[in-house]
Amino acid sequence: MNQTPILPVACAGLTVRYGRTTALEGLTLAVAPGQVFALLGRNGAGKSSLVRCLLGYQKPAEGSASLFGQDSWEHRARLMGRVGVVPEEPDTPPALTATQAAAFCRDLYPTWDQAGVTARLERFGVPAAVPAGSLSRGQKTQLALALALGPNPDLLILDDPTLGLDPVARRAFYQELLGDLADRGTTIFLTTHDLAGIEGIADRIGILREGRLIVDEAAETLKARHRLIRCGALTAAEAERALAPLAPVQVRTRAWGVEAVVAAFDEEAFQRLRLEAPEAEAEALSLEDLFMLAVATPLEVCP
Amino acid sequence: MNALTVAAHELNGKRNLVLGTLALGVVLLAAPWLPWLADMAAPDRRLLLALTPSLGVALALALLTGITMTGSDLQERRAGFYFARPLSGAAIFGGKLLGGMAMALAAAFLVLLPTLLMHWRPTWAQVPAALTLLPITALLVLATMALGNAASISLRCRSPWLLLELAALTLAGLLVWGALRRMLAMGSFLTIKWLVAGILLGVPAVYLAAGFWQVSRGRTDLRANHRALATATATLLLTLGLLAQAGSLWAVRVRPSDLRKPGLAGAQGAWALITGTPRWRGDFPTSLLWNPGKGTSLNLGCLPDPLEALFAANGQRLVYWTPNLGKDNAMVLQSVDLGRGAPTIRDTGIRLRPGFHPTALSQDGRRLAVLELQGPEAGLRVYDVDAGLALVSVPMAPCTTARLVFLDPGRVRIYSKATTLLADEGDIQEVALATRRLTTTGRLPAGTGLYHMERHAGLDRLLARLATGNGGHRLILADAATGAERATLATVAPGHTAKAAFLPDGGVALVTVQQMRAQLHLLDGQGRQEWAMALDTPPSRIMVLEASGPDRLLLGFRHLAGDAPHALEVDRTTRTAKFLGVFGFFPRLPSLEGPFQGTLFTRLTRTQSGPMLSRDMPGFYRLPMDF
Amino acid sequence: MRTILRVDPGDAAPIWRQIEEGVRRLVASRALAPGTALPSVRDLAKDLQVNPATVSKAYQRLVDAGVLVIRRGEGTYVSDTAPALRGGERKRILEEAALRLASVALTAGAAQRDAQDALAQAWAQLTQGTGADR
Repeated sequence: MNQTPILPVACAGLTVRYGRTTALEGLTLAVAPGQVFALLGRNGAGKSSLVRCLLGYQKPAEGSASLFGQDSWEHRARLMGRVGVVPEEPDTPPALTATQAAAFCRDLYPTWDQAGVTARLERFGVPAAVPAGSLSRGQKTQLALALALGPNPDLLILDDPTLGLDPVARRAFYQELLGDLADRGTTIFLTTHDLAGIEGIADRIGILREGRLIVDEAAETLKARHRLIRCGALTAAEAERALAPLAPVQVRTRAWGVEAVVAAFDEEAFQRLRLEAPEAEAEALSLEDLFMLAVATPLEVCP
Repeated sequence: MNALTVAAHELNGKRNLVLGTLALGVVLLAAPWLPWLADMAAPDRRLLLALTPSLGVALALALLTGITMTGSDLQERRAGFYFARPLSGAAIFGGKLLGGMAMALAAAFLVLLPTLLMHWRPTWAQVPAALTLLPITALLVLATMALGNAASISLRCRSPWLLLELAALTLAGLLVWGALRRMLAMGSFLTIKWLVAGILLGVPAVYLAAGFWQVSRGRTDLRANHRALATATATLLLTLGLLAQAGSLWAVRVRPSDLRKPGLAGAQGAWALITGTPRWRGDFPTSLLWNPGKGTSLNLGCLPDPLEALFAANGQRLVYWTPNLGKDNAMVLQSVDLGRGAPTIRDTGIRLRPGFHPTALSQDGRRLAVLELQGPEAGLRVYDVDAGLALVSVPMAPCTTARLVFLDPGRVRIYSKATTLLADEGDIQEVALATRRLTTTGRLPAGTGLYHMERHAGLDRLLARLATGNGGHRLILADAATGAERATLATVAPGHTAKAAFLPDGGVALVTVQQMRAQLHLLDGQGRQEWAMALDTPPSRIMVLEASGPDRLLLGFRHLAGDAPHALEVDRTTRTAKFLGVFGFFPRLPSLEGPFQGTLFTRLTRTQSGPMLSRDMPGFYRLPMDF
Repeated sequence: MRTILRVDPGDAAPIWRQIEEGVRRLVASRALAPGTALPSVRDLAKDLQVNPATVSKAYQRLVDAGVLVIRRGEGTYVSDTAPALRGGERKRILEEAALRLASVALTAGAAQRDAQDALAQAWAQLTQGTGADR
């Protein structure tokens, strides 16, 4: 029985415009069931516009955003029964306590797990009877996550969920998320600036730059094919020639030699390079490095 | 349903506020001891005293809810809390409306509760009336919330869409104002109440519907919400305005076939003036100028007295008075030219103080004579209708009543009576407009009924009805200028009727009803009998006697026993009478030209309704229905 | 169980391989004795802050290779018959590590003898009291 699985998240040619500015241009991506997709991008790159389209808050100018095969704008109300949302800014009405908020949600979802919600709130010390406006930033986020996980959703959409959280709260957040991931295999779509935090968690990385998706790749392969190669005693020209089969994307000359970032690293090709430059070293790039590479304009990177 | 969840959640959140209003209710109990409320302290006034703050609280909470229901969430970027849930836009907005309404009504009830418990002992009859307050308050609350929401979004967002809203409001307002004015001008005062009711219900409904649209399309973005709201309100308000316009056009566009129980107020040449109550447009009567030949008609509006409208004898003009809906109560003369093309109404500018004024229009329709009966300005005034100016003013002695006629455009004859307890005398006078000289040409015979007089222009003779002392009357033929009696046509004992009418060729038709028999006499211009015939009718009064063609006479009788009236047609050549039938109305179409003379008469409608004839207004009959 | 199993974001190897090799190393060095229970996928994922699917993949590979065994209802355990590394594979691993040691030593300006001393010292440290063979 080989059915094409219904994709929890899919965009096709998504274009969003605000007046004369284009926030997203022809964006196409897909998230497979059970996958963790991390969308990265600088502020103003269009992440929030994308999330708003996915959640059906906004209608795209062209193209479509769909969840579970159904258009987000048209079927938002129905789709939200299967989606948990943690917004960038906590949006629980300030006068509402956690208990009241949970009671409100309980009546809206047939699959609501009140016991789980209560347990989660207790675990993270979110007081049940304090108005949401008086909670700390971390507590508000935990409340939002608890409410989002309450109906055991098939998909979680998180818009920069750890923004403004201290390291303890951030860690607690990821712990909760990983626990849910381990227990239920929820599909997760998140946007974030916390590159270090999600480094091991994301299956797939997307990078938005000025409204276009310039990277859409499995985290593993992204890391596997990029290296920072240092080789001394080579002139720039020689280095370029030697590095060519490794697809260098950024070459800098240093006092001690040449430092290059390559995008098509291959062990064999590297060994051949070492024949010419025995002291050549290859170092892996962190997600942050990769992100900088993808989005930073040449002027902003310190030489 | 999800909206109820939202409603319950809203109500729960503002629980304390609602309970707080109970305190206000308790304060009201202390009214007798509060100096400024002491005069309302009587037990039966207490409830009334409590109703005002109760309603006030409901509306205040409604306004508060309206201002915050979507506006504050959007401005503080918290709308996602609702939109990330499986709630449709309608459920969100509807739920907030329901919650706000429940809150406002609950608060109002709590304010009222202490006073109700302490002072209200209603009878069973009073309870339903009291319960009607609930839906009325609920509607007011809904309207306040909807309007509050719209105002809140517009003011919070302050985007250029505000201009669209204001423009639409202004335009819709102008359309409604225009509609109101059109209906006022036509005198459709009662239909206006429907228009006003429509606006009072329609405007909040517009904002309510626009609110649902706003939330469904705008979702979490304040600007998108404002755009959706502005476009929805603009569209709906303009639609409302256009509906008001269409409604007013429909209300004033009355055709003869729309009239219920139409009556003929006058006719000349190709045109008739008919009055009736238009169907579906309320209870106001309207007058139409109708050309049965072409089928065209013109709505003149609600005329205060259609019988006072005057056709020019040449059939080219109609003039009538309308009240001036301004500071003074003057009557204004309107003129309609019936010659070529479509007739239009023109304000002549001629004004008159309200009151009874005998008037006459010259045969060519260009001069109007008006008689002021009493007071320091008693006398004759003649106006030029085209120019709207007074031409001549001739003072005269005051009189009780009068009838005027233009002998020619330069001469006016005045038949006037100054009735006192002792005397019932009348004068016949003439005014020559060129010289402004008033001459008395004769006297009316004593007991003449001025409004039962009929004059024949060609013969210059009068048919008059004189009251005799014993309650009966005499029909005479008299000289129109001098008033000298020429012949007695009939003497009618009390309780019997007789009627005489001039025929087109100058002869006179006379019908007398004595005992059980009716007799028709045909007389010549001097009153000498040419022939007579008996008519086979049950005991009845003769009401109508008309020439309905060159050789035909129409007679209408009303049974003494109160049965439906019936009509006969007499053919002068064959001297036979034909029974037309029992009718609800009598037709009368004097001087209608063309192929319709007599034709309409034959298209009578038989109805079961009683006679429509009014004895006080002999000229006012009803027209047949099937035209 | 707090292990010295670490995932290094600076390492180019995929995370599942790092976990796999880490476990293999611990098993081979008897830091994880046969029959020891391993942390659940859930717990390890939380500890290392990595996707549980990744941990699951590593565990699965280890089970397939016979290093770990799943006891239904109880969890994942080090298998009693921890296989030795195949000769060729062991040689490759040793050569790679030796190359790295030599490279580091040369860069530090040390002589071969110093490197050998360091190696002997490290060996002694790891095998202290576990009775591992030469």
